[in-house]
Amino acid sequence: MVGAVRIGLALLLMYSFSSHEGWMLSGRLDYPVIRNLYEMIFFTDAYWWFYMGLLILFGAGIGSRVVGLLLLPALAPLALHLSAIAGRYTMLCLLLAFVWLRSDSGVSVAGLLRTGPAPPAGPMWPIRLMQIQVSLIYAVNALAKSSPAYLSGDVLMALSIMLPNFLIDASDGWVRVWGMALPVWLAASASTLTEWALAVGLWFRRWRWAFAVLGILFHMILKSIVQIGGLDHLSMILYLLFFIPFERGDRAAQPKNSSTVAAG
Amino acid sequence: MSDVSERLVFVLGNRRRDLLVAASILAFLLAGSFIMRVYYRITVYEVEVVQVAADGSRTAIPTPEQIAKLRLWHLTPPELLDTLESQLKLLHQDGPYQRSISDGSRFEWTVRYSYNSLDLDESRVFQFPESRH
Repeated sequence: MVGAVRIGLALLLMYSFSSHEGWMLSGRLDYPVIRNLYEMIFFTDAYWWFYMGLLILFGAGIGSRVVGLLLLPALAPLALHLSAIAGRYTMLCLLLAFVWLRSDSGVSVAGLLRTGPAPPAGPMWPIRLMQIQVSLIYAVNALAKSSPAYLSGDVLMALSIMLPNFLIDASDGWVRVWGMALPVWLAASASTLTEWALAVGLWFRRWRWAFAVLGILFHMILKSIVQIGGLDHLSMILYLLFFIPFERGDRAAQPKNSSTVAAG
Repeated sequence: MSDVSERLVFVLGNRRRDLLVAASILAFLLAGSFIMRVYYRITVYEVEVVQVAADGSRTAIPTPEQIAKLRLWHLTPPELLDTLESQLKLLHQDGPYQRSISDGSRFEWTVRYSYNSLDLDESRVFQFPESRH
């Protein structure tokens, strides 16, 4: 499971950072010296090959801890893309937490060459941080959308008209998706409520599967409304984090009350 | 506790260091969480440009591709205007706009905008050579 998350994260990082087309700095950072720095270093083919090479190593589980720590400063300048900062920042935060797990955990090159049993991937806290990150994504978005302007449907209506990546037109006050026609205020409110539910529900072991299914359904419906690149796939891959088995510290060699991430 | 089990349970050798790193990362996640908000607000805007010749005659010209293709809807109005202004300054540094300014023309860029609505009830004019009103 840990290996699957690592590979998924590597693939999504490759997808997100593969191009700097349309890249733009915030007006407050847009100075000639910074632009020149980007043109001379960060937008060159050599730099692209450099971090893509690191991503391949990371995905294959070859020294992924060290490689992951190198990737963070390497990709950080490219995350300052005004139109893509949310997704890129999220992925770098996940990487920041993930690098503390063993490089050879789960499916990896070292794992394939291993002859003995796989050791645990490491302590729980890197996974807990990533789980918190997933909950934060939903919580901050639900909080931001719990505004009168959004819940009334005005924002959703304007988004559907103005943004080319929106696949619906809600200018008449209706959202039509999957054969349903919903008033725009109801669609906006329902999506906000769903995000609140996903922010909280995945932490309850008994209801985890139900909320994961809800989340997958939510993102599938979203894909019919708006194209957001890899963020949908990222969100669904990250649900795996809540299903990684933990081994409690009841083995003789481990301290009490410690928990490790199971191998795999 | 054996060395082997310490390596299995702790990333950095002991609980204190692990806690320090975990707490630092958690603080970073919380502090930057606002960056992850998407599609919760919109600034609707449009940009029109008028060339004012030296003799005072005014001609509306098409908004250039460089400005028309910008996707700044997710910014607040002040951020939008800041970013647009820096992009307009870049546009006027050289090329046809700079040449026209040298001939005595000026360009008035009118940005009409509204926050979380389609009303377009606010506006700002940028003028090059620069003066803002």
